[in-house]
Amino acid sequence: MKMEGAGNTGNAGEFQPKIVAFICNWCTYAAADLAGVSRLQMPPNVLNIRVMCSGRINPMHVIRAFSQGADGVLVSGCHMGDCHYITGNYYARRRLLTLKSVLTGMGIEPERFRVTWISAAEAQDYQTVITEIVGNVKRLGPLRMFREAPVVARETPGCAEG
Amino acid sequence: MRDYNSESAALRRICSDLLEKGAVQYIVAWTEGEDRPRVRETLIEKGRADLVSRIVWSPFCTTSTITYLKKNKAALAGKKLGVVVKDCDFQALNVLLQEHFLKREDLVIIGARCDGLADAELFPRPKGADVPVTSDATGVGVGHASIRWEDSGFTTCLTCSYEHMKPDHVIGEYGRKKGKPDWKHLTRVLALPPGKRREHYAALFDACIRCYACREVCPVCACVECAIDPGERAITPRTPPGEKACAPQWASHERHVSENAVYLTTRAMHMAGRCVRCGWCERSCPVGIALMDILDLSNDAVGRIYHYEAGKDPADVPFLVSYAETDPDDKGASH
Repeated sequence: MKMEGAGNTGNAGEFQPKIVAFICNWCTYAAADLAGVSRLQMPPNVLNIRVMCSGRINPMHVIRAFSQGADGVLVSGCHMGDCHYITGNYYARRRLLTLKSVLTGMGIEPERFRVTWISAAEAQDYQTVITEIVGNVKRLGPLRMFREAPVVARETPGCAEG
Repeated sequence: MRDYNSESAALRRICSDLLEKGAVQYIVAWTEGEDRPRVRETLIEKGRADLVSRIVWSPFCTTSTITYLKKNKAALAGKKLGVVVKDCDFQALNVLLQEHFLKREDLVIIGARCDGLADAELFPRPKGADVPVTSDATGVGVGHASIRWEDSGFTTCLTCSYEHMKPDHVIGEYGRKKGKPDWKHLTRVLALPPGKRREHYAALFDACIRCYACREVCPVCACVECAIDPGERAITPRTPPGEKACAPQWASHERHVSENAVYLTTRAMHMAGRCVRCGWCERSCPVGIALMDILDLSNDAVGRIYHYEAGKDPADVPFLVSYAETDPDDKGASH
């Protein structure tokens, strides 16, 4: 799950963020597809992961993505009331916004984790969201919180680093 | 002024009645021994008058009887149980009842109204078994020694707001006014800029040695199989691929800040709408991580955005398995 592929393009020297997008099969994935077919231009820093419903997204998916090196995470599903499985996105909304509150409280900027609802027809919204999140995260720089130990004196010297 | 010796006597009468009449098969209660006023939770069956006579209720009953029920669930299944709880235990019990982990009809709940807890280690060992244990609005005392609530070593008790316990039997009266939960320590952290907050939390994550003591003592951490540390489904070289696929490794056991972050953040999320703020995880942590700083992030979100209190009503649908069409979309979700 190391993200080596995404984010390696672009000008040399410029920070290229790695964004993981969990998108729902019925709405946002179709919107992404439509955006591609319509040749809408957007930055290539995003790794799209198709899931059957935004309700499939466990908070651990997001946490794991951050800990494995994602600089930003997007979860996107159908609009409220439009879920293919009737209520999946209602559950997702409650749990992901709680997660957002936890993550932002820990100091992860709110721009790094976005939860959006994009229907199959809204290819332009998809383009806007992707452009925004990549631009924002590029401005914020790499997320190192989960990657590197903070520089503090250890009480037990000689304890092996993982 | 509360006199815990007389409250303990009342509690002993209730327990012995329940056992003698056969209303319950077992009682889970705190008992004290030679090292008074320290207590431990004990399973008592009918005919053990020696144990019944040692049942006690005091601010030193710091352990959770619900953790005892959680750990011994298999052995106690189907048995009629009496359980002595304080306010935070009662909330935790409600969480487990909401999740159908325990059955209400199997339980007789004896609630002890709690003004706060205190660390027995702060007191010299009293001489004799009838040294009075007392408390009032300002502090707790054993014999002539006394300490203020603020110094009792139990920070979560200072912001406890539970006083709507509805048990089958009740012991004592509140002697101290309880307030609204206010999380001053969290407010202090949240006032920092994001970069400083990241440093604060990364330092907490970095200190974790992954002993899982916080999970073990938590009264509501009751999953049969922990997603982070799947002991039952340990992967060995002989595990077939199908089983491996059913047991994804969410975080390795490696002691590294990124893996610890996955564990502790996941735990905070898992506790959303379930944490009753008993603070036992923080006190049990061998490396002194301020776990309430992490857990209160989700407690804060649940209370502030959804106005939900964990364990308020045993008939509630658990917080994360329910939804409302009126849930806010992004309002106030970020700090």
